[in-house]
Amino acid sequence: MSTNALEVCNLRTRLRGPRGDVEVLRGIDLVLRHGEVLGLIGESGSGKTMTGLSILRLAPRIATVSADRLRAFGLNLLEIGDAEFRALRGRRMAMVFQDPVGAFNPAKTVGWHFRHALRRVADKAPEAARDWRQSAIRLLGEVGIPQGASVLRNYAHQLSGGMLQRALIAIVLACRPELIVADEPTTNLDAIVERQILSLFRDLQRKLSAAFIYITHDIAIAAQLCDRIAVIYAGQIVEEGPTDVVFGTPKHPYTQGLLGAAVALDKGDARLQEIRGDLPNPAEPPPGCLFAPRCSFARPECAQDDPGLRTVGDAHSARCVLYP
Amino acid sequence: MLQFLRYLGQRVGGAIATVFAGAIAVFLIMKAAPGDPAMFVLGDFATQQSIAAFRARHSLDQPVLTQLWLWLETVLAGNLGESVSLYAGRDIAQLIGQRMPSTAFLGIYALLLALVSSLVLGTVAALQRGRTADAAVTLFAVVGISMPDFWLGYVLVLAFALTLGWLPAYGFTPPGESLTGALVTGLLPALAIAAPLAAVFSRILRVSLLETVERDYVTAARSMGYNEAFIFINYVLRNALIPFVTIVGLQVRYLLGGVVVIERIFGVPGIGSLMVDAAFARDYAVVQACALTFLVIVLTVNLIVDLVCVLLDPRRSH
Repeated sequence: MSTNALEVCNLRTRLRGPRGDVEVLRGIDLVLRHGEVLGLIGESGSGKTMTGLSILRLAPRIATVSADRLRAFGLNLLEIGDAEFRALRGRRMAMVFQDPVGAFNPAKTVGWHFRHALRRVADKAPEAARDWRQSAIRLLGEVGIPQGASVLRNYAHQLSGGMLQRALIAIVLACRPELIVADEPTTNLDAIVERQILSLFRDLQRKLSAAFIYITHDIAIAAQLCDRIAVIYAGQIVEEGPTDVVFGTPKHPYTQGLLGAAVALDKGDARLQEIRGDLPNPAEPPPGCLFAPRCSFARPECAQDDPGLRTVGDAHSARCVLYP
Repeated sequence: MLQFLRYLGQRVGGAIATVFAGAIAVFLIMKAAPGDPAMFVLGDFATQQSIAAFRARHSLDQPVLTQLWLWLETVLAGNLGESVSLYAGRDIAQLIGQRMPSTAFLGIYALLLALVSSLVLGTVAALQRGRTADAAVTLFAVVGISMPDFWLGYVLVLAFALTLGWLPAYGFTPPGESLTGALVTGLLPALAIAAPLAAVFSRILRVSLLETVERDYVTAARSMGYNEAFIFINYVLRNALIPFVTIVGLQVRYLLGGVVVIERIFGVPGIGSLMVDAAFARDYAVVQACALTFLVIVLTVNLIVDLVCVLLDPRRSH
């Protein structure tokens, strides 16, 4: 038995477009240990969500996904057929979405979703599938919804985002997966609900001892929740390491910029430091380091070769020529 | 449930008000039509006295508003009056009652043919997007939308009745006499009405399905590992049907337009052919009654469609 819940090597995703293919993931490398929470952070459009969808083979039909290595639970996911892969989803791997309202079938009650999810894992928990209503009410109780019976009768449009996100987490809880991708699950919620959902995630992770990929652009959340951090920029991991190391001594200029944008106010500096410019156009990426055009430390050689991930400390790596 | 009943009450009330307004419109339009029914019925050599007597007997000498009131009064009492010229002296309500089964049968027959074929074609086109089957359905739709139904009616007669001899070219057995007879003799007219509708419906369903497939809840369902057939039926088709049914409801008036023309071509003794014959005979009372009947049918169908939409879309009843 491998010690890793997930191993991803050189994951590449191309999207077919009207003006040719666009590469949105350019060789993602990730390793996720059992029971570990990995924070995948980056700005909008950097490829965070596409990474999660590509790993779970949920990328849209215009996408072509390839990888040198994609393993989970000791299985080679690259060799598995679609039907077999489908059998893993909802049982051994699951996903929590950014917009909880949109994740529910609007024509069906919340109870309907529980009934089918529990039926799907009936072999793991036969008694829960038999009396799905009681199990659903109990699961909703566990995520802080005491009035489960009435929630089950409701449709998604009748409930708040926070309530639905709890219900979705309860459904995931029922499936007892070993790998969970959470895609900005609190972005659409207000601050108080966000804090409650985050503590739910911590409980969920403790109960299931599942491996988590927690996708977010919020550094404060990542710092609270994650064991390790991977910083993604333009479809590449640019820095990766333990949370306190990456946030304590960020090595990559992009990570430094991200943290600068987040912490400048704490230090009494009234001016918010920002990273100049925008993400490169994925159809015409710059040569060499993708961040070089926005980087204040850029040197001539940055525009020549992709520096590749370099070891910059204990279990800490960065994709930058500043480090030999 | 209470909300649903309140909604139902509002809709029925609205429909009754619309029938009332529609009845007034029908009456006024017929009044504005050229030609004097007295002249038409009594002929060119009628005397002044007989014309005056005719006009007095049918209240044609009264002011228009009085005539409207008299007409509404009798209609509301369930009395549609008597045919003046076409079937002189026959009770119109009885005439319509006799012909209603044929028209209703033909309309429902055509609607079912259009719905079933568009469900199949629209689904195939959406699932095979960009491939040969999709292109074939698109071609069918373009042809179907651009063909006038009366022309298609003649083509069908030429092909299936005159050349192949499989089906009768003319005439219709009412469903009251023989259901199988009605199914066989009604097939060509129903096909002629259904083809343009099926073309429109299948395009609408295709677009609606393709939009729904992109929704987040479909990705969420796939992340739960449900099988594709389950997701298609319960997530994609189920939600795509909501806009589909709404638009189908709006197309029902074209269905009735098709019924009127096609009944004439195939000699179906329905309300459509009654209306056309009555119009040629300047039998205003019959035309008015037929128009009123069509109005009631359209409103009833729209009401049914709205209720089906509410049942399909839980967001609407709240």
